[in-house]
Amino acid sequence: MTTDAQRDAPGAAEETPQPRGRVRYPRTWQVTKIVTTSMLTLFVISLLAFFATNLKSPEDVARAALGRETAEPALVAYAEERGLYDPFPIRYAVWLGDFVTGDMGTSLTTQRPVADDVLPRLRNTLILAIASLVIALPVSIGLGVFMARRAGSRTDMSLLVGTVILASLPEFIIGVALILVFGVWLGWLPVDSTGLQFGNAMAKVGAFILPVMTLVLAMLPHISRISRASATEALGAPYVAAAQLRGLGSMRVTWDHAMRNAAPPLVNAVALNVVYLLGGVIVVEQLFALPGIGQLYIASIGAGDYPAVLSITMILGIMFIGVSVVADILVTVFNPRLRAG
Amino acid sequence: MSGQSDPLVVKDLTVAYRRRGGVDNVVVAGVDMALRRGEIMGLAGESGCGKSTTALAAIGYRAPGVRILTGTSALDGTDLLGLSARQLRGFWGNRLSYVAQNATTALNPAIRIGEQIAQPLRLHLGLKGDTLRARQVELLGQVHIPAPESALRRYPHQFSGGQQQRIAIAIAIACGPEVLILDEPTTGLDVTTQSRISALLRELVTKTGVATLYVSHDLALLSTVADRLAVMYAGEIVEQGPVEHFLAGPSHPYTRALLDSVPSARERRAVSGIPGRPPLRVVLDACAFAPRCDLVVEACTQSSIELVAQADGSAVRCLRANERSQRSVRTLEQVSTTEGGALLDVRAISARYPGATAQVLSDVTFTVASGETLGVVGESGSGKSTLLRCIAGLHPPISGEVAFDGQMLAAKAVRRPREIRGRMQIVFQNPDTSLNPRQSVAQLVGRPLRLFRDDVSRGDEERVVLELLDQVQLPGDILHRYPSELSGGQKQRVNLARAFAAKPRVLLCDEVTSALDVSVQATVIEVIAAIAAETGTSVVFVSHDLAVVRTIAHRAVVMKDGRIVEQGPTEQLFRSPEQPYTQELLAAIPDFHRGTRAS
Amino acid sequence: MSSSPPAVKETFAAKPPSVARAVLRSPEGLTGVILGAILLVIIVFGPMFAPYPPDQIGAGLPLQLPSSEHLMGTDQLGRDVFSRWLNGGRSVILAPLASVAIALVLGGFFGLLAAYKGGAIDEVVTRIFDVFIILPPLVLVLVLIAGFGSTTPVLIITVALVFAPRMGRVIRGAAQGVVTSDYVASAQARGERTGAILFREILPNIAAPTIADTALRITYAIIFIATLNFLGLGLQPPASDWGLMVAEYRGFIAVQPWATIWPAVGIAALSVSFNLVADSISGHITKTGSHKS
Repeated sequence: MTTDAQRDAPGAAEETPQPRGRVRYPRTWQVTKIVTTSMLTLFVISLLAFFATNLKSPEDVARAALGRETAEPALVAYAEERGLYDPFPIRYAVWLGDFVTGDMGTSLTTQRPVADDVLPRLRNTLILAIASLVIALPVSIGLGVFMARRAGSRTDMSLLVGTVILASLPEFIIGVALILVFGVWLGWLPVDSTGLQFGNAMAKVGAFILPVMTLVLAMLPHISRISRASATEALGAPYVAAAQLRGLGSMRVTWDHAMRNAAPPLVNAVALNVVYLLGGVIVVEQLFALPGIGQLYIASIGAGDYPAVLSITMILGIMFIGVSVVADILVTVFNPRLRAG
Repeated sequence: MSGQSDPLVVKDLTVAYRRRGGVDNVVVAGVDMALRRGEIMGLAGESGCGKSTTALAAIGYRAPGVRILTGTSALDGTDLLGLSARQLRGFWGNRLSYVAQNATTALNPAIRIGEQIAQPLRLHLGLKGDTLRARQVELLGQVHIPAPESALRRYPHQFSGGQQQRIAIAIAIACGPEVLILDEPTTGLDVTTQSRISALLRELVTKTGVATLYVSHDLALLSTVADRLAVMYAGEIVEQGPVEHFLAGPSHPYTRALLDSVPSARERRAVSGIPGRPPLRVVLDACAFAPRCDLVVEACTQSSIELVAQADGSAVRCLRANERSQRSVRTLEQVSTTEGGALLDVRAISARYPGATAQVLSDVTFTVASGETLGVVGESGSGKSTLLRCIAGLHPPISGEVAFDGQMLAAKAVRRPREIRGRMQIVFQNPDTSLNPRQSVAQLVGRPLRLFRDDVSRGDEERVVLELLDQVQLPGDILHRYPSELSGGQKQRVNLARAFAAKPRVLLCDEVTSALDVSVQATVIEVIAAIAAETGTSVVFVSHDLAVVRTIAHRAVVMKDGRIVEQGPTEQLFRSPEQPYTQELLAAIPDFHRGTRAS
Repeated sequence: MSSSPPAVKETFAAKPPSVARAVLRSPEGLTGVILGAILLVIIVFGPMFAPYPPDQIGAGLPLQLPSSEHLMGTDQLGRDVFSRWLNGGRSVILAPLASVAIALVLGGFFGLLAAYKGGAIDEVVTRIFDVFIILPPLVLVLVLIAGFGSTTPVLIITVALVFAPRMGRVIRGAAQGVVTSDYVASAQARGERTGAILFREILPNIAAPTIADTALRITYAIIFIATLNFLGLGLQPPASDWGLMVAEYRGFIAVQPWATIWPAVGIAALSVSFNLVADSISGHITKTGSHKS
């Protein structure tokens, strides 16, 4: 064989680094793209929401505000004053301008500015959502990795069936079960969230325990199954065996070598699920009579209070899209192919 | 055979896979071997023979489900198989290193290569700061990575496949190991890259004296790179000895049959496959090769056969070692290119992938005569497969045309007349994805009969399918089986039966043997050559393997970067290539019969 | 004959196991099928065996615990909970089935179209799927219900709109793997018509993932629609629906827990049964998919 070392010299044909895969964009470009996409999504939500809450004729809206008995001319005057006869795009633009500047309109039921009803409740909703996420994410991902490291064992199989069953339960049923066990039979925790308004500090914290537990249990099976799947895949990759064969310890191999690669798809999948599951705050607030914007949302839909519905839809939309934006940006941080500029 | 001072001495190694139900499936039995300082030991065998399992077990690595039943593997007197996982970690990457087949997957894609090299250095040698950095740079230099300083900051995907394997080797030798294990380190790489990596390994072994085990399915490659060879069959070493012993003519019937199935790029020679399939586990009370051996006598199946030392320093596990069988491999006479006009006429084809701007094919022109076999060779990315898809009407070219029997063809298969579609059949590379898993063999092979063969009535279909299966040397009882129940070689022969069912005049073969073991590849080549000769079918045979092309083709076309570099009668092309690229390709091919070795 | 049959027994299985057989063979799938069958019997034939009319007020004293007369006790209006329970399952299963059927047709059509046509059509369809998928589902459904009213058809269609792009994406993904496979290329080279390729080559090979996804979506639709009923945005009292019953009786949970427990168990068992079946099919796909020798 012609094996002179010159063959191996840097200039040899095989050794020219080839450009691989897609063109790599700088990080800032990625972030701009993510933010633009999410703004577009919000725009779609706002259009849909505005459309859905403006289907009624101007007179019907006026009648809902002024009362059933109001005469026709008064209705028309009311509608005209509020620009209800304007074309759809103009009304949308006016509303959007108001919303962005903090004016959410007037509630049809309480006759107060929607913002006054919504903002105090927003705090409770945020506490509920953030506390649930902060507990659910590490616990579920930890459980998923725990299962992946024992993939195929009896423990793993039982836990998998357990997650299938838990994932089949609606939040309100998980919540009812928790109320029965901890509220009715054991009597440890309050069955609803009235303590939040009338109790002391301890009662206020206590009022959140069952709602947070409900949401955590609702998210747990989904997120731990995704984590298990990504971790199993990464742990089976040849580079993991290669790292073990270099003498690295098993924790180091799992977290540094395997999970670093499992992270980007995991973050993406988890974000989609979190957006799906955060819908649960609405259900949980309703179940525990917890005064948050979810509870107000359901009440407003029932009462046909369109300004309130529209505003709360937008706030929830912003919350949920915010989660995806954070996740998407995390992905670019984790993925070296997007990192190398 | 093994001195006490050898760095790694493996004795009586027996390994099993644990199956559900608790029964162990023994896959490696009673392996003895010793790795010597400054030597490369080659471990050869077909897929599933237990060679990789042996290599991993020898360094104490237990993949999930693997159990080491007996044996010792001593590194300087310490039995690795008796160590705890924690103790083993102190050896791995330090005194014992392992390089896996595919560096693209064995390097962590999310970690910069500098860090990947640094990890064992920090862990085992406690290097840090400037010393660490100097060693990192030195290592990359040793494996000839250009600009090592800046390379440290890059990620694996920013290197070519060959470079990635070099980096993996750099990590393996980082701590100056006494033993290096390489598992198919160049499989999947282009032949020119492969030869450079072999040369690098020889250089490192000479320089550092590391005792090396080189595992490969490629006997020819091993004969050029190794000092000693061991051949495995069904979990046992059937023959081992100095490489000269093998070059002089191996003793075990399996080794000889294996060599007969390896096509040669140096001479035009027919290949013959080994009938049957290897057993999937160790056969304990008989010769495992007996059912496929043409020298078999009754004693072969009565008891297990011992590995017996021979006069020339080799050892053979056969009762009839050194007896030669009747089967001989013919040297094919040069077939003169068929006279008569072109059957297939490819004129100035250019093509690109959808959405891409770069061309995969530029101005490719050639003809295929009736009854002729044309080989198309090139390395990966040369456009040879796309060319075949253009001819088959699966990839419309951007310019150029294909004529069949003087008739211009539409770019898309659907728009071509039925007779033409029947007359031109294509067989793909991967037997696992080219058969619909939901159809039985009878349905698969019967479909072209219904579409193209008006002479076959519905009642006759089954009979014709059986005839076709017989032609491709498949038993009739697979008629109602599904692809998942067939081996790779069987699936590829079903593909051939389906292609021949349409009575084609041109058969397009896209790397049809590259996913198969050599002995199976030989059978497939035999089948294609025999049927093509018998029916006068023309064949366009695309392959990256020059030896295969030399074996089967009358004429050959060499492609590079979407262009034809050189074409001509196979013999002429291989004996006196005119273009530098063809010469380079030919020089890079390892050949068993050459016996020259890099050192 | 150059090829002796393989020596291992498993490889002689007559046919790639069908989805149905795979489900019945796994303990998980079998449990799901049995559980689902029992519930379907209750839902279909249960109303015939109800001891009282479901909305008969004062069938017994209010808020009685279970007794031989009232197997699940009575509610705050003295209605027989058992009779209401037997009647309350129908709406829990019918609306989700209708939603998923609509979503399967819509998603299947666009998913297959995108996979088979590729190029610009694929690009556009996938983009539209992506936009819909990123919208928070419950918010989307609630705002549509707010606008169009909380009638059953609105419920079914809005939930179908949530699932259609998700199912479409799964079907497109499965079909794309098949469309780009060599056996489809081989069929194209034979000049097979689009219909033949679709029905002979593509559909049989995407059946398993599609069925698994459909079963999973039924689980989610049951959860979704039961939740809407629980929130009071679906059926209205005095209808007997398990979700609505949980909402109505939740306030009396300390006094008469069984009125809440039984409908909750009904919903849970129904959605668990579909999810177990879905999971056993996914398990079967992973097993056969990764076993490519």
